[in-house]
Amino acid sequence: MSSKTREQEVSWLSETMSGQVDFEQRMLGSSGEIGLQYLRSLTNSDTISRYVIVPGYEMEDVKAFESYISSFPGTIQTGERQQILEYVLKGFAYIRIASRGYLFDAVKVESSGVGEAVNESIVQGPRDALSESIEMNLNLIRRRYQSAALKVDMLTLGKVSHTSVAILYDNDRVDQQVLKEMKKRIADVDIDILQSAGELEKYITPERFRIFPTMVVTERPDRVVFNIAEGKVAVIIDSNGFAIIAPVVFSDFFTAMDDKIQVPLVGWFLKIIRYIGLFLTLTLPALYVTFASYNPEILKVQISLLIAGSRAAVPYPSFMEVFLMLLMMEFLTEASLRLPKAIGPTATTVGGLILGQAATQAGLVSNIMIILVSAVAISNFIIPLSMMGYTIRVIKYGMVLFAITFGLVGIVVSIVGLIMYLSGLRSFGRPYMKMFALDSKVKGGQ
Amino acid sequence: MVSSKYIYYLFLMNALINIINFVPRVLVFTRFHGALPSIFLSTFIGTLLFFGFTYTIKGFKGQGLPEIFNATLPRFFSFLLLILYAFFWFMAGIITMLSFVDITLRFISPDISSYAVILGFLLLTSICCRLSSESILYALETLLFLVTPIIVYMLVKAFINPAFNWDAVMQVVTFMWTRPKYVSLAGATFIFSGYFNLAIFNRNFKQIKTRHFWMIPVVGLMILLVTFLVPVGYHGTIGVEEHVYSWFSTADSIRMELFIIERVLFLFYTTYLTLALVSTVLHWHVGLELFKGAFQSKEGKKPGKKMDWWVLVPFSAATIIIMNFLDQVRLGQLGQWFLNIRFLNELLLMGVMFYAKGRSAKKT
Amino acid sequence: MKKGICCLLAILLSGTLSGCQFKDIDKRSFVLAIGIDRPDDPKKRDQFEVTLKMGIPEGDPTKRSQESVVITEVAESVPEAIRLAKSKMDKEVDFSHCKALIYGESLVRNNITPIVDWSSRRRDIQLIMYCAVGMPNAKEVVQMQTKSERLPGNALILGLGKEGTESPYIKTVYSYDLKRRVTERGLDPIMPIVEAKHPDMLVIDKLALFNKKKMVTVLSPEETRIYNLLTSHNLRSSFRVDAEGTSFDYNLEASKSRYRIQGGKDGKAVIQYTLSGRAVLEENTVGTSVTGPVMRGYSKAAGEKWKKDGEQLLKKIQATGLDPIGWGLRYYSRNWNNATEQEDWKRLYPNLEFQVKADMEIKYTGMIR
Repeated sequence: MSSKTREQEVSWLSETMSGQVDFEQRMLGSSGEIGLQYLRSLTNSDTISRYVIVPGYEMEDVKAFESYISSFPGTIQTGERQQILEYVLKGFAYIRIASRGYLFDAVKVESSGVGEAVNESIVQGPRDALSESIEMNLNLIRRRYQSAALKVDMLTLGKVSHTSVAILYDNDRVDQQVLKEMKKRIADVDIDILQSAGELEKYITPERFRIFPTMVVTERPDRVVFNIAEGKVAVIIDSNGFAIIAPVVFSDFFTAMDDKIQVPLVGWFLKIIRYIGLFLTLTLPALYVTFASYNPEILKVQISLLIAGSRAAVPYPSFMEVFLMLLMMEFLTEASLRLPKAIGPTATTVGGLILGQAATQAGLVSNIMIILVSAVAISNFIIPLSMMGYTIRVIKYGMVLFAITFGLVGIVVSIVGLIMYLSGLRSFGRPYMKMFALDSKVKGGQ
Repeated sequence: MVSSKYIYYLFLMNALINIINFVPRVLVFTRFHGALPSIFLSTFIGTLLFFGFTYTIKGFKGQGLPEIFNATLPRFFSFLLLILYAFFWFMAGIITMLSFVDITLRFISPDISSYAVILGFLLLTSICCRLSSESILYALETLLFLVTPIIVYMLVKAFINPAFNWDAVMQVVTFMWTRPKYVSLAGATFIFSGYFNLAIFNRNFKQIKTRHFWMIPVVGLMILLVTFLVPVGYHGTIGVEEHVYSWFSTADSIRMELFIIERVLFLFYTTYLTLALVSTVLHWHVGLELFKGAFQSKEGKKPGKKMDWWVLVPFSAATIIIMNFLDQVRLGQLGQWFLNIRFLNELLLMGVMFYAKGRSAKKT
Repeated sequence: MKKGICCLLAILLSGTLSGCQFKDIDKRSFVLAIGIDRPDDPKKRDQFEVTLKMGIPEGDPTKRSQESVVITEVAESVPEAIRLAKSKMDKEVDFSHCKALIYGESLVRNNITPIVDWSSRRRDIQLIMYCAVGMPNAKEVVQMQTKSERLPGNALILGLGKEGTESPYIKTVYSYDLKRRVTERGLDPIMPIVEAKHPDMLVIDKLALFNKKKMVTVLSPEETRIYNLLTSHNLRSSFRVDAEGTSFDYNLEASKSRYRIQGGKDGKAVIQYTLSGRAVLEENTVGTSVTGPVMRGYSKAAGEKWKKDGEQLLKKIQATGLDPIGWGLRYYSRNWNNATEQEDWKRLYPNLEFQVKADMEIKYTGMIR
């Protein structure tokens, strides 16, 4: 390669980068035959000065420097423009020695470090959450899964963001069909910017009207490890502390990592509690409408008279009451979620206590309705994974709608319909809801 | 592909739903004239049919009735038979549905329009019966597991009640040595006819292993006896005939003292509504697939998914029209006719299956 | 997505179909007890006087007692009377929580079948409703508001059932049981009798025996208790025994009763009752200390008394020609000659003999000897 083309190369890169405030371009060596180009904001300046600039002056021979640079594990020798640009944008330094170009790994990682899991907090057990850096996350997972079978496939997604995505699986246990499907779906993703696991989840789900999440998005490395060991595929994304796990079954959303730690009896108890919570939060508002307006004969006399008594002053039909209070509750949850931590509790108190109390006293809502709404809200929060929690929150309104139109029949019809729908769902070709899902997993993995 | 335990679920489904399909009605009517011997006889015949069908269809791995018929029978006959059985299985679903609409109006909401109820049922069944066979089996399993404990609870509750009159039960048992009647026999064999669903679901079975086959007659006989005798224990040997839905009246006679719901009736209604819906979906699914199978070409090319609605909508419309024509008495008669013809039909099916098996054995 | 919208539309469409049924719970008034009499007016002797007791939902559930409304109507049939009563109420009359149906004495002496038919035919009236005879008439029983009740009609309901008091003088009869007894061969209807004692008391301690149609005889409280002892397990009661200078009270802890019909081939049949019980001594009037032999003596005396009372009651029942316990049904159920068994029983019944064997054991003397 002649020196002219070398010059061209340099000018090509600097032209592309022209106008970038943080683009650095230096000539090293006594004769300036070493060119160094990088983006200051993405690279670790300490690494650059210590391992590139200082030796560049200290070494007499360009050849010696070249072999010194190429001996670094992350260094890539290349002449391809596209690759150079990509890597420089990642935080590599482009070093041109003689006629050859080297990409030197000097990536600066600005991450929040390993934090504590906040969205899926548990009482005992590991507290680490996935961090914002893919390397760190791989580290977290590798440390917990020390097996040579753990394979990591790296690829880049996003035409603009060039986000690295890693597909993790245990080569011995994984369902090859699922893996193939997952790779295919990820390869088909066509977007500009990818920033979060949730986004990716949305893109790799087949385009269809769907209510339930068919992939778990989690922030816990132990959950990822646990699922990989079960033969599932995990996907982690750079710059986002969440991982996607697939395929999943319905009951996965009702497993907290706590269950493994507890005594089996307690674990079972907690699981049952969660399903009861699910049932209550789904059906209570609908049942209230049924009891209050269609079939008051179902409950005992005392309870019926109690409901009738507390509803006596309420000026509108029961379903208006239910919708009104459920909406108030949703507002309250959303408000306390988005508000700064300092004001959050105040809002809850004002909304929950004062509003509830005043509303009953004013005769706008019955006492029993207030109890019911709080029960619904609390039992909704029992669901360990928030994605499912949100889904259930929405579905409950559908149940109320059915109860308004058909009464008790409507509730039963909607429950049966829901179970049918869930049984019809597939997560990466695997049944989504099935009794004894564990048995079939063992058989399927063979 | 599913394991062969699902055969037992299919059996259990039909066995439990018999209460809705007028089986106790005919047994109670003939309680002094051959109900009990019919029960024992039908256990024998039902088991035989069950065994025969699973035995013959075992030879056609992964094939449904349409594939088998189209391959072994003349085109015209296979078309005719498939359409016949499709109609038949649609009819089973329709009767379950209509019967439940009537029960709903009778026991739960007397003022609600019957059109609203049937519309709700039809909507659910039409949408759900288009799911894949596998999905329906999974749903069946889940729902059976949810419902069976409740049914067992109610049965235990029924038996430990001191008001349960064992003398009345024994009095009916003394009518053991009477001549069985065709009607009661046809009714009692209904609970074994869950195997018929294999006509389509056989496509999904890897292989049919009938382990614990002795469970079929034992469980079947137990369910039949309970179906027949518990209402007698509650309403007496004479009074039982006066109750139109003897099992629902029985459920209304049981009390749960220590629960927020006092009347078992509502628990019973909810569980049986669940079962009835699943059973209807199951029957309609089989009916739909048979119907489509009739129009299937020899190479196995099936009509598209869009075709479904051309079958389901007319049948739904037919359901509503039939509902218009029926009153309580006629509905009961329709149910009885269905049971009568069904039994003959199953015998016919048995013959055809053995013929088909012979043909396919000759071919290979 | 399109499918979802279609579904939604369908639901809303059917919603318009069912809209008329939506009636809130506070727009209904629940009938908790019904009383049915023949009117006193001699011109209207074949009409019905229907008394409905309804609970009125109150705004404040913490209030001590809830109001009730009692409406009485006279008409030619029960449904007619209810229709008249409905026009007096501002709310929808709802029978689904009706827990007690009181047959007035005047009605019971005439004919109960139309009422039994009505109450089991109506879909909203429970089959687990309590049935009883009201004295002096059903209206007074239904109207009675005792001091202890917080819910309208609750005293009546608790009294007739077993959740509240467990008096040995009360026989609970549900509506389905009554219906069964009205139709069954070899089993006749019974009902407890509720008496209204002024100013505010309900006394339930007698049992009315019916033939299929009307009341034939009434068992006294003492006989009712023995009847209960003979027909149920674990009766909670204390008995007093006066025998040969000793008189003592014991409290029954567990009891059991069985019977079988012996013979029948030669035109004679014996009904053998076997009673067994375990009891605690509650009061010893004589004042001597109770030693082992004394206790065994007491046990024997108690057994003797059961035997005597039991046989007396059984004879009395036989004399009326009724079959409240179901001996006939038992006979039919144990005989396989279905064609002739009813004739046989008709011949056997007048000459029935009764044997009561009582195994009574007083096991504990209480806290003192």
